[in-house]
Amino acid sequence: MNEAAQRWDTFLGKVRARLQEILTEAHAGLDELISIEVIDPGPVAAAENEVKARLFALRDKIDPAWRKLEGELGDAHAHLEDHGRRLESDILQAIEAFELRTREKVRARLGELSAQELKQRKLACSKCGAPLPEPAVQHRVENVTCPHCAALNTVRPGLATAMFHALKPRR
Amino acid sequence: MSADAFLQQWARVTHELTQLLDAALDVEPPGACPEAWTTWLARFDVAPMEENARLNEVMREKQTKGAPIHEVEACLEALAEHAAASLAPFRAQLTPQQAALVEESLHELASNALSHYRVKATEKKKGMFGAAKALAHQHQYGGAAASTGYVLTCAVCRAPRLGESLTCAFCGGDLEGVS
Repeated sequence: MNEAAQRWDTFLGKVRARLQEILTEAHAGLDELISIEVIDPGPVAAAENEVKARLFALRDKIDPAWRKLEGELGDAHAHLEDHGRRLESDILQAIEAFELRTREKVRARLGELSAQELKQRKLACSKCGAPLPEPAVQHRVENVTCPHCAALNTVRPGLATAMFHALKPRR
Repeated sequence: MSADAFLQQWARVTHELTQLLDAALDVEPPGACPEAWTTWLARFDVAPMEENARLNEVMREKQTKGAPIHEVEACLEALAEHAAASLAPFRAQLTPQQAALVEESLHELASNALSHYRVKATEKKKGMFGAAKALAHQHQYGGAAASTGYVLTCAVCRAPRLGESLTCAFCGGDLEGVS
């Protein structure tokens, strides 16, 4: 392997190591963030954008580095470009996997909060105060008739419950 | 030559100073020697440090980003000399107080800029999610909350809604209120 090829190999190794560093830091930070707040989607979205920006910037280093070296490498080493392309593709896949995993983590946390909401909720008629039965559907706005005074109560779900069901994967 | 010409030249000096510091701070990873930075070194006839010396200095100074402080200092001193030379023809147009002020500013230019650079280049990086965490701690939507309910009431007789209809079962009024 000539010197330029060695440099290219070392460079790709550094990019791959950096990719792992970013993902490790991102997952740890995201877990903490999700435990703090998921009802407001802003913080998680901001964190996701930060990670994606770093990963895209990392991917964007590969092509210019190849352009610098390809003159020194010559046609005999043209196949080495594929190593860079593969790493670019790996970074894009890592971004997709990170987004998917983030959605799963957010939904799991919303599921916990939703269970707490439902456990704690004590529905009562807002007209007479009598206890109300749980509606058949708990994650949407539902009408419930008061068994005591017959007033029609419109019951709203808690935020976590509504969001948990809204984020349910669709087929 | 007028005071305007002097101010224009002074503006050029400060603009170049800003560009120099920006280019130095843009050096990533710390202690690297990218083409953008070597252009500045060449501009001020400053010889680049050896690679090991660069990395050692960056570690010794605990830099989190930027070109080695020694190189930046040399560039700043050269810039101050260039500035003094380019401003010399205009000084005759200044009052003694103004000339003294310019002299003092030129004297402090390099040291002040270097102090500023040192602070910026050794700033600890905030975590990846610093801004996101600050936002999360605001709990803008109040966090998870128990569900709530309400009963629509008649705007005329205050009777509660008893069925799916939005018309009062007692007086025929609209069910517009909430209780």
